[in-house]
Order: sequence, then C-alpha cells, then structure tokens
Amino acid sequence: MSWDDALQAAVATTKAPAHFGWILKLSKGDTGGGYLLWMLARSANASLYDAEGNVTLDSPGVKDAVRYMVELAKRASGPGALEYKISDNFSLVNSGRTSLTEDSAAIVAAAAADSPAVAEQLDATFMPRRERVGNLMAGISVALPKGQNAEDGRRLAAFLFAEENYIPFLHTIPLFMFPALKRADNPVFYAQPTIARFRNVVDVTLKGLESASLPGMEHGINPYAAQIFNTHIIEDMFQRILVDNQPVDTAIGTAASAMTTVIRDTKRRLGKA
Amino acid sequence: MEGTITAPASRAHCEIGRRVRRLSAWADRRLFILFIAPGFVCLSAVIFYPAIYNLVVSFTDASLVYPSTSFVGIDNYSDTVADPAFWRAALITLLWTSLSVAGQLLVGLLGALALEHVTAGRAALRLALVVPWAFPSIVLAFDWRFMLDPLYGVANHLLMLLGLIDAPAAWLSQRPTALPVLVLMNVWFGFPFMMVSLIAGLAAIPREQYEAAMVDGANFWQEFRFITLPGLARIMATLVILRTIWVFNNFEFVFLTTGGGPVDATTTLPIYAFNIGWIGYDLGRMAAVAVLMMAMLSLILAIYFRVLRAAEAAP
Repeated sequence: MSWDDALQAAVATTKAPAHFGWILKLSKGDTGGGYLLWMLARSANASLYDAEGNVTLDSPGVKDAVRYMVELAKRASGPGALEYKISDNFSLVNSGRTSLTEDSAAIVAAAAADSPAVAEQLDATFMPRRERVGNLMAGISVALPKGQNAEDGRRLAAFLFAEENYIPFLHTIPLFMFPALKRADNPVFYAQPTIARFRNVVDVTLKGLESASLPGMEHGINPYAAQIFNTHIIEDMFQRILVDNQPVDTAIGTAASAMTTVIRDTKRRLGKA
Repeated sequence: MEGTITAPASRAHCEIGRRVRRLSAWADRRLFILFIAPGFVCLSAVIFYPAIYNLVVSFTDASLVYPSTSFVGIDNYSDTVADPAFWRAALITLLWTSLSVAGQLLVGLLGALALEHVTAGRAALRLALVVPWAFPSIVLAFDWRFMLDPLYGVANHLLMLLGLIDAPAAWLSQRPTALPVLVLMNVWFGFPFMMVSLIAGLAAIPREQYEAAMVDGANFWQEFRFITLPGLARIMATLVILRTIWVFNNFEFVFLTTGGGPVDATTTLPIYAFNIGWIGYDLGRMAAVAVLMMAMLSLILAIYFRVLRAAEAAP
C-alpha cells in the first residue's frame, strides 16, 4: 500500500463529524506525531538526523512526509487530532471512530478483549510505503545499574526467559509481545486463541520486525533519539502548521533549529562536541 | 562554732538558690524555643532546605540524564530571561491566574449570597456545591476532557442540539478557546472553596446591621454595598491571596487537559518549567525558572498587600 493509497482510503472512509479515516495523534503530551513522522520518513529513505547527529529534518524525504501528514490531518483526522495521544488509539478504534491507525497488533488485541464486534472488522497490513516500509519497533529493556536489586533483576529475567515460562509470559497479553527467542516461534505460541484468530496481524508484525528499528536508532544506538522525541519538537511543529497555519518550510526550520540545540547540548555533555 | 559553720552554708545555699532562679528565669525566657523548635525543624526540612537547594541548583547545569554537574554562574537565568517563550508563559500565567481567581471569587460570592437565602435543603445544596472541590484534580481534568472531546464529548452534542454550533469543536486545541475553557474549568473547580469561606464570613456579620439598614429603608444593593461587602472584605482579601498563590503555581490542571497546547496557547510558567526540567532534562534551568516564578509571585503579592493597606487606611 502506497502513501497515496492510504490517503485515498482515509479520505474515502471519512464521514465527519462522527467518523474519520485516520485520526492522527498529535498531542504535545505524547510522541505520536514524532513516531509516525519517523516511520514515514524512513519509508521515503530519509531520517530525522544522520549517524553523526546532524539534523536532516529539511531533507526532501522528511519534508514530503511532513506534508503528507499535514494532508492526512486536514482531510481525514477530524478536529481532535491535536488532542489525542497514542493511548487514545484504543478508544478511537474500539468505538469505531477511525478506519485506519498505526500500531495494529496491540490495537487489535485491545479491541478483541473490549470490543469484539469491532475487532471482527479489523486486520493489519504494512505501513504505507513510498520507497520502502518504515517499520518502528518498540523494545522494552531493563537496565540494571549497580544497586541492591541487580541480582533480583537477573533472576527475574532468567525466570521470564526460562523455557517453561517464556511463551506463557508472551501469552499474558496476546498480540502485545512477540517472540524475541527463536525457540518461542513455534506452534505453541501461535495456538493461543487471540493469536490464532488474528494470525495475519501476527504475521505482518513479525515480518515487519525483520526490518524494524527503534525510533531514531536506524543508524545504530545513539543518545539523541530519546531527547528528540521526548521534547515533542515534532508535535510542536505539526501544531504550528495546523493551528497557526505556519508554512511547512518555516515550521520545519524552527523544529530543525530546536533539534540541533538538543543534539548539540547532548554532544557537549557527552564530550563529543 | 556552729554559727561560724552555718553562716557560710546558708550563704552557699542562698547563692545556689539565686543561681537556680536565674537559670530557670533564663530558661523560662527561652522556653518558646523548645516549642518552636519542632515546627522550625519541620519547616526547614520541607521549605527552607528545598528552596535553598533549588537556588543552588539554579546556578548549575544539573541534568536528569548526566551525572556530572558543574557551576555555570547566571547562565540559566540569562538564558531564561532571553527566551521569548518564558515571557509568553509569564503573560499567560498572569491571565490564567487573574481570570481564574476573579471568576472563582465572583461565582463563590454569588453562591454564598444565594445560599444565604435558601431555607429548605440548605445543607444538601451546600454539600452538592462543594463536590468539585472534593475530587482529585486528575479525575476532574479527565472528566472535562471527555466532556469536551470533539468525537465523544457531551458538550458538543448539547451545543449542537441547541443550535449554538454547527459541527463539533475541539475546544482544547484551538487558540481562541483553549485558555478560556481552562479558566472556566478552574472557576468551576475553585469556587466552592471561596463559597464555603464566604458563607462563614457572612455568618460573622452582625444581624443588627441588616436590621438597622432595613429600618432605614435600605434596599438589597445598599445592604450589599455598605454592610455585606465591607464585612467580607478581610476574608475576601485572604481568599484572593491564597487562591492567587495556588492558581499561579497550579500545574496539574493545565498539564492534564491541554499539556500547554495548542502550540503554546496554555503554556503557563509551571508548564514551561516542567517542559525544561522533565522533558528537556535541564534541571538547572528549571530551578532558575522556579526562582524567577517565586520572585514574580512575591512581587505580585507585595503590590497586592500595598493596595490592601492603602484601602484599609482610606477613610
């Protein structure tokens, strides 16, 4: 599915004021705008910043992704896009208010539990592509610095990854957690009823994981990503465009400048300047 | 012989007695220290220590992310004062505080005066009107968010039924409506405190004054202007001071509803400080903003006290 296909589907299924094709989550209290822009920029073979930490927000690929999201917001997102956070995805889908959304597997899982009639209508596919698909992976890790609980943490990790515990652990919230170990990728994992029912969602997600990276980490682990997304520079940029009608180029310039400051400060503190 | 022995002993006893009396008088004069000490220690722990620590941090580049901290002089202050967003936030904070406090006082006063004239079910009504004050702000903020939601919100539904709007509006994400709606929410949340306090104030005004006014043929507005308002002046002044401090420093209501947006339309100083410290991880600059906020609030209250003193001194 291309960007244009997704936009057409979103616009065609928009029935304002009750139903919208793709309600974006652009609240400044969350990272919904930043994550989606990163995915779309990746699909245009672009990045928000390069491996050295140079901001590339004004590259053609990112600019196209920004314009695409602005069009989506204006034509298929409705008036609430600037208020919604990523967590609002669940209620937006469960109430049948949005046709398309990102973050499919977890959303389908919640709908299957809370709104089965809606869940029956749901399926997943890859994110819209331009040059490629930009897949975002959310990885949860446990850091164990020196402290009293380090040994307990190691024991917990060993317990969770133990053969007899790992798949039951993944099944505690089906479609939220996927096998990180090869041995868990087996029929026992797929036999869980929700996973079996939404097998295509699982397959698409696992296929996507093969080419996914953590947001902002496509060039490798770096200290900038968390600060770039958590400072909500991207969401602020979209709000300036959509609320203040600021020209896209101007808003991107302001955001790029803010991003450069964040990265410069990070480099200075790490002695990389 | 006995006398020669007794006399020095007696003198010694007297001397000891004098010393004990002097000591107990000295202790008596300083007994208040003993009573004040626990309170002073508690205050030092919860107010003086954090305030002084905050002041020290404001001159450093302390960060949530990096362990090392160094002295940066007045850089945090000069960066903050040079930031146009800080002055925008200060202006929004003044608007948010003055409109909220004025609204709360007005509605609280109206509620108190109205309740004075209610005879049946007064206690139940008073209890019902205090409800907003009784709930945690996180519950109220989310309730309002849901009520104002452009997709699910009952507010849009009712306004459309009444023909006041054509289509659902995003009240919290449009520049012209976001701050007024927040103020409205805050007035609703804060007026019960004003109302309950003013009811107590009304009860303290001697009835004889109203009876005398009635005999003199005063109407409602004259009673209100010359008896009720002067009678409530002191309590209203205290309420305004307290609420000004609370609303000026209020963080959770704005954060939980708009988060400071759209763009910066509702970014008050506490939200600005939060964004710098907890989102930008710059604790040093956040501490500098907190010090500047304290200075601003002190200035506002100093002006307010001066005006009050002038009003009280006036004939």
